[in-house]
Amino acid sequence: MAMDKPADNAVDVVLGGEATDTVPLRQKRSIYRDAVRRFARNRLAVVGLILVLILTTLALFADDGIFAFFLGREPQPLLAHTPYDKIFYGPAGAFPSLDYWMGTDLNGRDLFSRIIFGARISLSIGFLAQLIALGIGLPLGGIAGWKGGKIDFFVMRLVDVMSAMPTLLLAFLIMARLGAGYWNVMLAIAITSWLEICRLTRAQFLMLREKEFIEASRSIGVGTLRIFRLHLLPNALAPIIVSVTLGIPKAIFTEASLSFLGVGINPPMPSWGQMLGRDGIANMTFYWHLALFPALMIAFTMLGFTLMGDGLRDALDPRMLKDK
Amino acid sequence: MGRFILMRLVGLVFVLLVLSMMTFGLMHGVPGGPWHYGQRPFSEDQIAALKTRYGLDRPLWEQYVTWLSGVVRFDFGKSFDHPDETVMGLVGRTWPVTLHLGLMALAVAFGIGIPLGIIAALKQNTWVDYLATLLSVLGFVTPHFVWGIVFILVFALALNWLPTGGWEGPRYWILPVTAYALAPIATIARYTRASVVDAIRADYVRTARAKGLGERSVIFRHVMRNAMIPMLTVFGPIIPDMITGSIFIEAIFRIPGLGKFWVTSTFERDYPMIIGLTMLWAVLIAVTYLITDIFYVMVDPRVHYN
Repeated sequence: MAMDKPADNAVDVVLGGEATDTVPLRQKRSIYRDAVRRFARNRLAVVGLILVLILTTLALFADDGIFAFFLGREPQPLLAHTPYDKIFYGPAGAFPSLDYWMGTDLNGRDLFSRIIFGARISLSIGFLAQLIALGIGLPLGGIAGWKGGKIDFFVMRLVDVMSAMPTLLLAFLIMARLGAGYWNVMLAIAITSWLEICRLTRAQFLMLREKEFIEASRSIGVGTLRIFRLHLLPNALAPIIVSVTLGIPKAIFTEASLSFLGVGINPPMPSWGQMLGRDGIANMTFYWHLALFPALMIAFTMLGFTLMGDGLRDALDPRMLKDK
Repeated sequence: MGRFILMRLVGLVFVLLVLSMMTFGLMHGVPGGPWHYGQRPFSEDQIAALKTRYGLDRPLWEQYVTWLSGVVRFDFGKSFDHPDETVMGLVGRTWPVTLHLGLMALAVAFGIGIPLGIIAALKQNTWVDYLATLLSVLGFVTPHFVWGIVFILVFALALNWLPTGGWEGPRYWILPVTAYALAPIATIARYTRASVVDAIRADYVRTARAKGLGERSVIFRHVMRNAMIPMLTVFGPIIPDMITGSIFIEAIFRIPGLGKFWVTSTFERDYPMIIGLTMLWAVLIAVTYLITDIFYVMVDPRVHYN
């Protein structure tokens, strides 16, 4: 309610006929609507968003699994040409052609279909792992930075202990304990990647809590939760969003590394990293398509999320309101 | 401040203790053992004999105490995978190479990444910014093992300018250092840009300009100093990450470094090596964060630790 008062006053002034053209009636807009406008004006960000949307479409509609689930039948390939594990006896290692758009792999499976299903695996792992990481890192880092003292000490010691563990080695140990597989990879990545979000949130809150506007809010009796929602989160959000958005390709990269080294996604389930690591790099000089297409897909995915993250960062920054 | 540093060092001892217990439990909880995955598998009796010899048949807490009493004397035991070498000896032999590679890559990464990020931020949303962003994105989006392979194909095999691998002199350094530095260049440039863009819109920057400070002074004394807080958080961990090596770079360029052991020690269930490396990493990362936190106070007088 308090927020509405200036606008009400402005209307009164206008209706009263005084200084009609000196008191602008500013349309009420949320920072998010402004953010959307700024995002749309940023060409690179839009390119990133389009890439992400294309990849998400590939991931969602590789087969009609979503509909098939409700219709209660086996999923049929939709954007992909064949199921990812269908073997064509004969054209193993075939180069790209009209029949096989990206050629076939050394087991005679259609590479195009495997690439598309790979999008589903890579994107879902990247996204969900970061979501779990955010769910752990943001609350912990926020509380630590805001409260300080003992809570900060204990949270940061937990972060210390966890981050004192070498990432790849920890992921390896977890994978060796749990066994290779889709959900285990996701879990291993989430466990190893919430620390940066936590540390970043804490650093932001630590800096923000010293700011005058926070002190002012507290002095007029604004509740902690409201300060969190209205002041701390919007001000701390930009670097966290950059971190999460960049964390998705990082998670995809970790998944690729694990699969590359044979403890990630189990074949025949496809993942770009695994395709690159198993057949791609070893045969790069001759079967170039086996390395090129997975590498390109990893690159496009990272490009998309990176550009989008940068655009989001610029668009979401409430301080840009001043520039209008 | 002195008390803060002391507290953190006490904290480090605690972290190392907790971490070593965690790692000890985790690595012994992983199925299989050091003698299960050889070329010629041992018989059950032989494995039992080996376990007795290396003390693996004792209760876990007893093994831990034995290990800990060694560590106090800087004795981390012998590597199971390289039985003629101690963990300390193995790390001492291979780390200098990795350290050399990592430090060179770091110098390149910071030397290019920070100016790139600052320029991009100052020329925000112009073609300069887009070009810098695209350049840094290119480094970021392609895994360094792909860069490594591409570099070998182009500069070593096709053009024959540089050797394909090995570690014998400056000519051998160029390709791996470049391949290794591309990702951190991108990360550094990106966060530098983000932080500088943040700082550049602040009121004190407008004030600094309004009171007639030169552009150089505004950027370095006001913008950069304030941009450094979020930058430090991200840049600190890059350093231990880079100086401990990468299995991909070292395998592709045949560099006799430490990098591969982070992965092979787990494959081989080389327990002394796993926990030794974990301790090494833990000390490095703890020191990095301590220095980062000290930097916070130096850069920003508003930050205090009480």
